[in-house]
Amino acid sequence: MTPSPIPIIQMANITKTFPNGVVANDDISLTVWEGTVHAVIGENGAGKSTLMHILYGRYQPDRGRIRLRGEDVRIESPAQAISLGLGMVSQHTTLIPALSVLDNIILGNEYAAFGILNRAGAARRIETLAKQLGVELPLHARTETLSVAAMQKAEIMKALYRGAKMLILDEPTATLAPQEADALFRLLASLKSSGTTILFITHKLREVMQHTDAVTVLRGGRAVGERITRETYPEELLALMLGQRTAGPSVPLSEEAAASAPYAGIYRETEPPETPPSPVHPLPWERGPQSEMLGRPPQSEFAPETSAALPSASAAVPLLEIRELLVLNRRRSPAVQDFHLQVSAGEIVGIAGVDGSGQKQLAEAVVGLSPIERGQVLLDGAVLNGLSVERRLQMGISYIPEDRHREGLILDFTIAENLLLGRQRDRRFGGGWILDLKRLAQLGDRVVQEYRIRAGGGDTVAGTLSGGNQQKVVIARAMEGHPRLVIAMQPTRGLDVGATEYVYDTFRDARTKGVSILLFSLDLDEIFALSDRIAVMYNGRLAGVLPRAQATMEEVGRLMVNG
Amino acid sequence: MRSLRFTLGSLTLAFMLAALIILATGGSPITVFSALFKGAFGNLYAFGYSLIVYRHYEPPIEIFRTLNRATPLLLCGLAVAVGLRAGLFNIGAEGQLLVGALAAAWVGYAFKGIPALLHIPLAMLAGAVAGGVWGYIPGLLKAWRGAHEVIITIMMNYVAIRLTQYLVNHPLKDPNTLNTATPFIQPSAQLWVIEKSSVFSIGFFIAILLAAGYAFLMRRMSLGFCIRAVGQGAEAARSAGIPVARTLIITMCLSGALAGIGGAIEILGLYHRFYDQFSSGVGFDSIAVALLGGLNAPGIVLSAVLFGGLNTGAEQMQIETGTPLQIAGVIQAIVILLFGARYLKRRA
Amino acid sequence: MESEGISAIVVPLILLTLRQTTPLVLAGLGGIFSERVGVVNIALEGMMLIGGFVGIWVGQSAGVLAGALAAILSGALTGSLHLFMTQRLKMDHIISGVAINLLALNGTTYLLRKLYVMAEPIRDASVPTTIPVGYFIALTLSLPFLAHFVLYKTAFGLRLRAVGESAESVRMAGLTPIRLRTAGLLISGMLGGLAGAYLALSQVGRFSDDMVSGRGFIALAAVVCGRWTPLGAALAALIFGFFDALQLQLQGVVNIPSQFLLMVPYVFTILAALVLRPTPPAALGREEETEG
Repeated sequence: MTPSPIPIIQMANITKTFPNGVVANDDISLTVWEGTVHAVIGENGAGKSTLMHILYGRYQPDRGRIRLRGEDVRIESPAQAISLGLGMVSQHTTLIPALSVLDNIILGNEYAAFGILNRAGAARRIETLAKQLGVELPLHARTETLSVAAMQKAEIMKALYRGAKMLILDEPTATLAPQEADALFRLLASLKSSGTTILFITHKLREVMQHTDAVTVLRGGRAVGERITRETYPEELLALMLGQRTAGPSVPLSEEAAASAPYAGIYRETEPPETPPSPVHPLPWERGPQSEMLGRPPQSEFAPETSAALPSASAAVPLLEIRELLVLNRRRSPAVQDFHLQVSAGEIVGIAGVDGSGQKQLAEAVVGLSPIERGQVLLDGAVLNGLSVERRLQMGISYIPEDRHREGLILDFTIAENLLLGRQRDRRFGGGWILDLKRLAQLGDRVVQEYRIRAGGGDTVAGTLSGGNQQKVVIARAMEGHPRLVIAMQPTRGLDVGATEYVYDTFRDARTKGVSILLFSLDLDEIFALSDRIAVMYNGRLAGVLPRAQATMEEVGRLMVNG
Repeated sequence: MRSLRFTLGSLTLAFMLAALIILATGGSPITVFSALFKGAFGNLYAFGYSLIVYRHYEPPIEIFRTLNRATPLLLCGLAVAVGLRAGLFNIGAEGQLLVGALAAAWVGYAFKGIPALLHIPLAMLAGAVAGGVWGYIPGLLKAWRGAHEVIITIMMNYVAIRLTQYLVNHPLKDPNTLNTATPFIQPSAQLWVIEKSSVFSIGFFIAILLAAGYAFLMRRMSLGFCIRAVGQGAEAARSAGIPVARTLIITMCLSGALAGIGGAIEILGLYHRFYDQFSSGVGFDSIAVALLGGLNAPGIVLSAVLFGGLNTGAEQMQIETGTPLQIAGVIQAIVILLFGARYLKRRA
Repeated sequence: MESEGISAIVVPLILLTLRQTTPLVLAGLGGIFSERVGVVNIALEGMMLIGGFVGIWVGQSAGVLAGALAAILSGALTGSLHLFMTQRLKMDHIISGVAINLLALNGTTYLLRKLYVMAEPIRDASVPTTIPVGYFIALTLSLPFLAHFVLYKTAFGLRLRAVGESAESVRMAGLTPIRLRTAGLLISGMLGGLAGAYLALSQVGRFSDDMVSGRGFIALAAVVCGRWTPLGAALAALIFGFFDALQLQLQGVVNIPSQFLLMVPYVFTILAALVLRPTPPAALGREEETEG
């Protein structure tokens, strides 16, 4: 369908800086034509969601104008957006789990006489609307009993019930199975044919090519391209999304391209080292009388307490083995299923996948934060099921969580205290009851120095550090314990180039010492830059494992999207 | 420094608001407050004079009364603080104090012929255990069933009030008296008295020791580290391998035990028997103590003495000026309102 | 003869039960309207005390009905204070509630002594005529159903319940969360004040020190046991009121220690937390952005 000549939504020069200093939108302009399906694409953190929330009145832009149907408007609240004919389906549902579907749909725009709800009347109206679109909804069920796909339909009905003519969908397919996504696009198509304009966020190129009329690409908070869908091709969009990193039509990184890439030189190290590494960085006090008295090899404050501190010599047993794993999410449906994977000592395995494919639950099951429903996780042949996080840490599994502010750090604690988290009963810090503050302070100062953390010393409060330095603290805690396996979730999210490089160096360094790393990332460049093997997750299952040398971005991308 | 200024500023504001209330109800704030101060700390001028001129060292008796009052406030303030450090709101200190007091009283009078060095610790231990059990129940329900500790500790307060009331009315009642009270404790269970007329005993110093212990726990001990970690970032603590549920339960036990010891000292040091309703309102007052003290040990000691003084001074003030002593409680409430807002901002 | 004997026990027991249940139901409904919009309300006790005192104070000069009205208004004012503390200053809901209770208990006692007991000449904090208990009992029997109707059958009620689950969802649906919270807390305070008015102006006709004596907390217990629903809370309040009445009735008659009957509401609530696992409204006590 040819886009009609009326621009229905025009956003011009939108700029938004959040109080924490993050520039989410930087001079973004966007035009959407009436009766079209328009995609906004970009990597995580490109500013897509912020832009849509500005359009819906949830955030106010610092600068920029919005015009609807050619008229300047100021959208100061969602209420106003609704009255202007906008509707929004958020990425994480805003439906209230405890209310019925019907109540959620009518909330704020109730069908009522003298304030008394006319639920039957509202239900009839919604059912008529739903029938036209071929949607079925259990209106009287509690919303929390619905599947994600059904909740999304309910959100769409909620917007349409308010008379939305322009529908914004924030990553609607991120948590849908392919069949569900197909059904959603059929619904969107029928909405389009009835004259609704649709604006949706995604990072799946296939969806853009198949279901949209036009597309705007965001990168790093800026709009870097606007295309008519049938006049572009996926490679061009990918290049726009990723920027200089994959310039040119050949999307997969060839060996030559890799050699000239900023990460040049890393690929030589992809083979796991054959010899067990020797302990690193012996520090003055580690050679002190204490370790001699204990008759142990010199260890740092953090060395695992188990005798098998070093990678096992027997190649037959992989360091980490995941067998037929089943993990449930909070609503007791499978988040990870039939998952199996082996990781050898000194190997980095990258886990690629669309956001929400079960990465978090997999990581948590290995670390000990999510219960294992079925299957087994083994470290060096020992079953980990049921062991506490602390116990697993002692056995050598450390964790770099995804959200450093909420899960990674305690912002009111000092750097040294953050480093102590999880090791508070370690005998190297006093033997369980009383903490050896001197040693802790030494550790803090040493880490600040070694990891080049910009801070006065180990007694600096973590909350006062910049994001990159905070992440260094999280990584230092994970690496300092002489771990045998590091579970890293998005370790460089939100970091600048320098800090990212530092993290990569740390990981490569660890690998040469025989540490294995399970690297979860949504950034394929990162996965390709570090991994020895790449495992792809799709809908909680293992879609495939490829050695780095044979993997191409294309193939990994295909597995991520199609399983 | 800033926090000290804020503290003094808030206290001043609280007293000014109280002065307004006194004015509005036809009193003179200056007369009232000077009577209050004298009731709390005695005639400090005369004390200083006799100390310097006659080298006559005898502090005013009001100070001992104030310290007597401060002792349970201090221990319950520590109980509230230890909970808040873990993000738990223990408003059940009152109940924990009562069961602790009764347990100590029972050990105090029922065990005969054992030496004081054994008897006193035994009775204190009984108080700590009883209070600890009273804290354990809400802690367990919180960690195990997600029940809100505030609701449960309130309920446990009233259960404690009724239960102790029943026990001193029936099975533990002293048959030789008309009072609803237990028999007097054995002399071997009584704490050593320092000043006779005010019955000021070493109990206050035991409380100070425990405050030092609280500071040591928070700063130097692995358990205190866990408590602070859970309170300031439960999610991060869990991810990093701190046993959150276990820490919550232990914290509530500890909190209850501190309040229970507070009750034990009241009995062993001051009352020497458990009277029905010998204590009331300490549980809520101690929230003011903990907040004003900034959850740290020296601050809690100071604010306990301050509120202890406020309470004893208020009694004297009521006698002298006819101003109802509840004005002290009003000041306490205003302090909580002023300090509570700050407390949460610090946490967020 | 025997049936007369039974009715001689049963009828007064029923009446006494209703009298003891009334403040619990009124305050309990107050608790529901606060907690259902997401604000923890342990200040019910304070709201009742202030309502009772103001009721007597105004009632003495302007008549008991004006007194009751003033009590309701004073409750709304107390609710506004709690609203301001928790929503604008973002204070912990529990701290705010504790402070309000402490202020109410000490403030009313202070004023009672200053203006009545210690005044010269001594005045009596009582009203000559009381509001008939029947009026309040009628309210007790009808208000839970009205509250149920409002919460579940009206648009206003739907919005109130929604804001107690998630302020963000409510905002995305085009509503203003803070207005709904304000409405909920005003209603809560008015009901709390009304409960205080009943105690002071109807049941006893005077105000005395700490006359609420924990009923606000029992009402809160009824809210929890009734799973935050008006009818459930009213039923729980009725059970608690019955045991209270039984305790009063049996005093000195049968040799059951009254303390155990007095303990019923509390033990019941602890067991409910253990067995029923009542889930509070999702946003209860959480710090959220409600303005703007």
